[in-house]
Amino acid sequence: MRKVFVVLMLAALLAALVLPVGTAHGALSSTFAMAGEARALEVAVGQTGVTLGAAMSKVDSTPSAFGVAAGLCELLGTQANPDSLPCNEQTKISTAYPGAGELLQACAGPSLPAPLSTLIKLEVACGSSQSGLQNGLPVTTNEGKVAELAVKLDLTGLVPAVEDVKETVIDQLQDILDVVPVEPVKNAVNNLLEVLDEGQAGRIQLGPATSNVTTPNANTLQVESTAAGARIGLLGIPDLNAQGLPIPGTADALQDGIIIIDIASSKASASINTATAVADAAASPSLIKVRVRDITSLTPSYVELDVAPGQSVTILQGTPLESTISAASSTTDIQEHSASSAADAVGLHLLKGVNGGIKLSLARTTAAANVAALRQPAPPAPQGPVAPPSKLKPPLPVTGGTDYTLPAIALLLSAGALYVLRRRFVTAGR
Amino acid sequence: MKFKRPSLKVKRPSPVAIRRGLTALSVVMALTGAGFIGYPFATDLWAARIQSRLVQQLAGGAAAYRSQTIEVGDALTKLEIPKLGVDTIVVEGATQAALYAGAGHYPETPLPGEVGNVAIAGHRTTFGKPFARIDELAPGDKVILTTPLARHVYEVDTSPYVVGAFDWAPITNYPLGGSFLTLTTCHPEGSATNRIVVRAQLVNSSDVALARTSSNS
Repeated sequence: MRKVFVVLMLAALLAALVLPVGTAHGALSSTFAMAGEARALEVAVGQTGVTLGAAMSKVDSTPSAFGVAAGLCELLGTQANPDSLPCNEQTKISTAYPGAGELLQACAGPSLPAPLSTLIKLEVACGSSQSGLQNGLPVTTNEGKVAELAVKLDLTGLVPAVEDVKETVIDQLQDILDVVPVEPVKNAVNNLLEVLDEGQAGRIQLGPATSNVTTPNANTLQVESTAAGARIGLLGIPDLNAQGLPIPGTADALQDGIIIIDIASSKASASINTATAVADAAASPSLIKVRVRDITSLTPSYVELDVAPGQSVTILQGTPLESTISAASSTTDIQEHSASSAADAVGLHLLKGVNGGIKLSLARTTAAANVAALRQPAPPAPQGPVAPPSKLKPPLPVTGGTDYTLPAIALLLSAGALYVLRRRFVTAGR
Repeated sequence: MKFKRPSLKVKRPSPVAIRRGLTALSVVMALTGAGFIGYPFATDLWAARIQSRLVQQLAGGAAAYRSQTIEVGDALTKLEIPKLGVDTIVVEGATQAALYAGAGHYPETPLPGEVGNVAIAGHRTTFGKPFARIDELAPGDKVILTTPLARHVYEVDTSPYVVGAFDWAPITNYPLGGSFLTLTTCHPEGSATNRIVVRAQLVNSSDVALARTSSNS
């Protein structure tokens, strides 16, 4: 009987000392925190702006997961909090683990704030989200997107402005297109001026923004943020009839615009191995292709301009059509137990001469992960949007500490058991 | 020729040696267990000793407060929560060492009464446990900060809520233009997994120096 008592007490001691107190890590062998964010497009006119298509995800080793996605939000700034995203509630959805685990979606055709509402026509904006547990690890998938956008700048002021600087426009176009002699360019510009007042300044085809935390295999957890890119077309040129006159309603800026900008997808990802507590990251910024139409040609043909990562180009400088395109760059920071990556946004300031133009910021993605072996100090959790690596914050001050009551009781009971066991040897020694 | 067979006997420890070993082990375990149980009480005594020093320091700390040259670990403000019977001195800084006093001011946040979000962290289970019951606070409850220069009355405007250990949003996110106070402590009790947060808004400030309120009371 005494032996049983002693064995039980020693087992209690072992359990109390080995099992972590006050935590719920389950089968996890490390503590971790991950977060990611993707934004499809941020557009601003004057002091007003919106974010179209946003997704954020975060998980930690509690285990818990949280994801939020929205079609339409206010301008999110650099330190948006995923727990309180200022978004249109009809287009915003969030899910968490622990939770129901269902895929939820919210879609609406919201109106934009003035003056954006007069410039941009937004059909539908959606957010979808799902969070759960897979392989014992927290996962979440989130997508924010909008249907195609029509951008409509007030072009009534543009025609006189172009007339005023027509020579500059012609010179610039001639430089880009390398057309000699200049006469065809002049004729084309004159034709263009006749059709510019058709109303639609451009169209934007925008891919979704996604931020997902997935578990590719049993010991790997990956956060991946993706902005699927966009195509922007400006100032569509209509088809011409047999007499060389424009056919109304045939202009499609995405197919035959004077300027067409293709922005490829951008991606930022970070991953951890929960068994080895090692982190990794990668990022790829959007590649940009800018095409300027040869307006002297009846059939659409384009001259392509390259914009190197991290560089800016300005086209049609000094004209009302002046536009600046700033290509994105990317950064990664990989330490042993933390990794983060970010693909900067592509910046566009289009048609600067038309009421100040329109500012766009596309395809910004970030991802970060931090991991520590169990029983090491918990890793700092990246916030959403994820700050650059050097700005990851430590935990809030620790003011609780571990409750040692159970180990203390186990130790005292075990001490009592050993004392009882000791008496056996007192007897045996006599 | 005879060979002597080697002895295969292993010398077993004597019962006396085993008894002594078990005695020593049981004493060590009993002392360790007692130490674990006594640890919170010891930290309370330690914090009380620090607090008695801080009371004197705060009463004579007007010059340092005015010039904003308060060092980490020095007295910054008196904190009172009438509903919970809390009356403690908050030190500058929220490092582990500074928090031996019980409660500490996040150095990156404004001083009491200023525009912005004043944040204070406090222990919940040890070191005097000034924030042991802040989960009981409710909207409308008063939290009073009395500095060497003024007395600031805050009113809780949000029910206590729980955030992750790395979630700085309660400290960094607050309505622009207002004066707020945020109290944080670990949650649940005896664990540092999460933090529980209470936010209050400044409702009244008066230029009543600490020395005068102390002498009146």
